[in-house]
Amino acid sequence: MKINNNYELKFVLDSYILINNLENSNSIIKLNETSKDIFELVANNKNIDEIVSILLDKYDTDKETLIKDVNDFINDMLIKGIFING
Amino acid sequence: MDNTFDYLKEIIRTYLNDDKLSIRNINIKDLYDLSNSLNVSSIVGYTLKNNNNYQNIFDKSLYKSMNRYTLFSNYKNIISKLFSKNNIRYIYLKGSTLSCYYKEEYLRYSSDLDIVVYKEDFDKALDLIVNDLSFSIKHRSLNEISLNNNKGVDVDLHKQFELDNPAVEDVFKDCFKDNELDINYKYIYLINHEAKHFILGQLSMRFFIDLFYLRKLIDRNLVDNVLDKLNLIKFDNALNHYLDYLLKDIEPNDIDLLLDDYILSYANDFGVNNRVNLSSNKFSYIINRSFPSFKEMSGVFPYLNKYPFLLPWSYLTRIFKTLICKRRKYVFNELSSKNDHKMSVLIDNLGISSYNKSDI
Repeated sequence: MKINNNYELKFVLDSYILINNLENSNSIIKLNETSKDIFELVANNKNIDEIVSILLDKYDTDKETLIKDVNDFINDMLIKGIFING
Repeated sequence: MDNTFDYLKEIIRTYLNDDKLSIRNINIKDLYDLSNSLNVSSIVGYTLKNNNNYQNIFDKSLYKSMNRYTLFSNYKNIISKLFSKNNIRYIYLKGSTLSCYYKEEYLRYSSDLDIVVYKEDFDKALDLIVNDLSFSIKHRSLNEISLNNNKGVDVDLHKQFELDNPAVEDVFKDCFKDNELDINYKYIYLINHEAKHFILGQLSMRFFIDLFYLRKLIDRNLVDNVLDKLNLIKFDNALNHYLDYLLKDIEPNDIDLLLDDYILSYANDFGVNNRVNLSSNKFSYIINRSFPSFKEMSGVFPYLNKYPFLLPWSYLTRIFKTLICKRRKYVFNELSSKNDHKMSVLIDNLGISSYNKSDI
């Protein structure tokens, strides 16, 4: 899985947002801290198991909830074409 | 003096000087609308945030600014590679070359990507942008072609620096060695370009922020020599004095006060570039102010690029906004009086009354 090159993660004031660098768009995707972490780990070629393991160390949450959150976010990004399989 | 405009100036001063901002009881929607009209809404949002007074209404401006910055950075790379591969001689101009001086690059909002191409390469460059990058021609004028693509990206391709001003051609003739003007010529271009906008009634706050950053870096002697050749010394001095008034909150002179009015007048047109000949009769003046060109309207109402038949609706929208805005009395007074004498005095004092009004 990898990041679509047309999307860039940017920091504006205190928010992380995803910007399409090929299209002028009024819709902005804001990421919370966890989503931002997942995004960066995918950008660093981590698989889902590795992502869950790293985030379990960082966040005070149970594994099941984290696995669900990670999967939900990744599926959402795949549907939007921001993540690409392969 | 308009309280909202007063506060906007204080915010700009705070941003430029890294000062602390006072908290005032201002209608935030008015502040947002005014800052948007003057192309500084992202700067205002940023400054309010850094002074613990952020208002979410500015989110849209900041995200849009970041979107534009990211977009144009990417397209600059794409176009540069394409042009270099095809031996096109070109220079980037204006916003995309000025953002690097701002506190955060995305704060310098640009509505399009401006490129000037060496005249012998122009047709080839146009062909590449249209056929290789799938852009369409939106508008043609004597000196430039405006293009856009189906991703909402606007590019202005300029044939050369000034079609009918040999003095300007002479100044910039050797500038195609690199793909960006050096700092002194960026400054000279900024002043020259602003002179053309100014006599058409356009003066935004963003210009003064550009000026603030550039003037710190230039060789003043070199720049003054060139500006003198272009008869722009008086204009440059007046704008720099206004910037000093803005920065230090000193007592303004008469020209500074007229420039305050001029800026507000531009803002009150809801950001539409006011391409009106100030020496026209009152009826023509009112008609031209009330019904700007399609190009200007599409800048304010982007949906017109996709649905041009909605132009009458956009005129109605703009007139309605004027009728309900709190500054309507100011707008109507200004329209009816035209402030002929005041503006003529201003233009004459700035030394640009005979300046080239031709297409920018």
